[in-house]
Amino acid sequence: MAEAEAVLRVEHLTVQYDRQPVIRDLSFDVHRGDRVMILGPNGAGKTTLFRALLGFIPYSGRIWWDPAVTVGFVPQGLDVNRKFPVTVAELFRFGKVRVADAAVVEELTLVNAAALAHRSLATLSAGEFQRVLIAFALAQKPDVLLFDEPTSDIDIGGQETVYQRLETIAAERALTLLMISHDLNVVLRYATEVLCLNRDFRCHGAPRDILTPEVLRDLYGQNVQFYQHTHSPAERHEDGADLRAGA
Amino acid sequence: MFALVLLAGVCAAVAVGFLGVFVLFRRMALVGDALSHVALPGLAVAIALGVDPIWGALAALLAAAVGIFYISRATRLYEEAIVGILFSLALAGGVLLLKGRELEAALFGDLTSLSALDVWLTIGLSLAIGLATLALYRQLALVSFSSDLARANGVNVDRVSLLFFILLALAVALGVKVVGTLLVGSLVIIPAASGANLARSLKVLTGLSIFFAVASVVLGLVVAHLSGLLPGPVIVLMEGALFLVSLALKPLVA
Repeated sequence: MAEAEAVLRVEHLTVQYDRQPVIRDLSFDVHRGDRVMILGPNGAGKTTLFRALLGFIPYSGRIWWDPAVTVGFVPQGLDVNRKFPVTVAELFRFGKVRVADAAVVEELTLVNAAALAHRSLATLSAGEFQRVLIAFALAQKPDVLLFDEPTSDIDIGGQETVYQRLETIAAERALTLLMISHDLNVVLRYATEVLCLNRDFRCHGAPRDILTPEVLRDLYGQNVQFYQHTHSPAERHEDGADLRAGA
Repeated sequence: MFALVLLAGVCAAVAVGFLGVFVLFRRMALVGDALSHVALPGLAVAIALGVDPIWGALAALLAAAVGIFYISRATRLYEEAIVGILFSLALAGGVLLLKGRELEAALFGDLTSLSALDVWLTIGLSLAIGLATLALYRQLALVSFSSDLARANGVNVDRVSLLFFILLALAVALGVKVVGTLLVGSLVIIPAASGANLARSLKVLTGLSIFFAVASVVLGLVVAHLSGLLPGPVIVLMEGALFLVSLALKPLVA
C-alpha cells in the first residue's frame, strides 16, 4: 500500500451533530487500488464519515482528495424514494454522465442486471435495486467508489456475487473502493484494508493482521454475537450493522 | 372572451400539471395546497391598494416560498410545519381583510373577471413555469429520488429546492385565479396522482399528468360556461372524475 499514491488523505477529522462529536480526530490514508472496508457498531459514524468525505456535511480537520479523481457513491437503498414510476433507464439519464438507453443494458450487464433496464424502480427487489444503484454509480466512471451497504434485505447468495463483480470491476478499472460493510466474511475475503470505527477505539490495516477476537471485542463490546438479519422494518437503522454487542 | 379564458386555462393546466409531477414525487402534496392560502392577504392588500389582485397574490406567495425555504434551514423544522404555521396565519388575516364578493372570488376563483392583461399574464407565466421545469427536469428528478445521490452527481440541492419552491409559488398564483385559493392544491395534486395510477415511467407520468390537467380545465370551463356554475369547483370535480377513471383503468396497466 505504501507503494501506490494516495488518492485520499484524512487528517484529524471531527464531525459533530448538535455539538456531540460523532467522529473524533480520525486520520487515515487511502491509496489507489485499495479496497477499504469500514467496520463499526451502530452509531459509530460510518455513514457520517461518507457524508463528510463527499462534502455533504460540515466538518473540522482536513479531507484531501487527489484533484484528478472522480468519486462515485452508492447510497444505502433505504435513503431513496422509489415508490414512484421511474424506470431504470430513466434513472441513468439523470446522472452526471447521461447514459443513452442503448448503453444502459451494457452498464447493467456489469452487475448481472441487464434484464432490469426497462423495469420500473418501484417493482425491483432490494437486491435488484442495489445492483441498479451500483451500476448507476459505475456509469459515472468514478476512480473511487464509496459504497454504503444496505443493512438487510439482501440474500447472502446475491450479496456474494455483487462483491465478486465489484472486485473484478475494481481490478479492471483500477477502481479504489471504500465500503461500509456489516459482514465479516465479506471483509475477510475482499478487503485489502480495514478501518474500524468506534467512539474510542480505532484500527486500520490488513484484515487478517488486525481482525483478532480482541479487536472485535473492543470494537463491538464484550460479547459479540453474529446476527442473521431479520427483515422487519423495526430492525432497520440509518447506520445498522449485522454485528451487535450482546447484552 | 371565452376562447381567451379557455386558452389561459389550458396554458395554466399544462404548467401546473407538469410541475405537479415533482410535487407528488417529493411528497409535498399538501404543501402546495396550504401554500395557496398565503395568497389571501396578498389579494386583500392588492384590492385595498387598487391594483390587480394577481400581483398581490404573486408577491405574497413568492415571499412565503423564499421564507419557508430559509426558515426550514434555520430551524430544522420540516417545511410542512412552517407551511402549516404560515397558512393558518394567512387564512386568518385574509378572511378578516376581505369581504363578501371579494372573499368568494379569492376562495373559489373567478375566471369571468379575467382582464385581457390577466389572460396574457397567465399565458406568459405558464410558459415561464413550463420552460423552467423542463430546464430543471434532470436535477429535480434526481433530487426527488435521493438528495444524496443528487449531490454526488454534482447537483446543487439547495438551489434546486429553492427554485422549485419559487416555481410552485408561481404555479399556485396561476391556479388561484382559475379555481381560487381553497381549491388550487387540487390542480397541482390530482392530475399527477391520476397519472401515477397508470404510468410506469416518469415520461409517461408527465404526459398523463399534463393531459389530465388540461382535460379537467377544458371540461370544467365548458360545463361551467353552459350551466352558469362557478368554474373553479366544476374543474376540481372534473379532476376527481378523471381520477376515478384512472383508478378504474389501473388494473389494465398493472
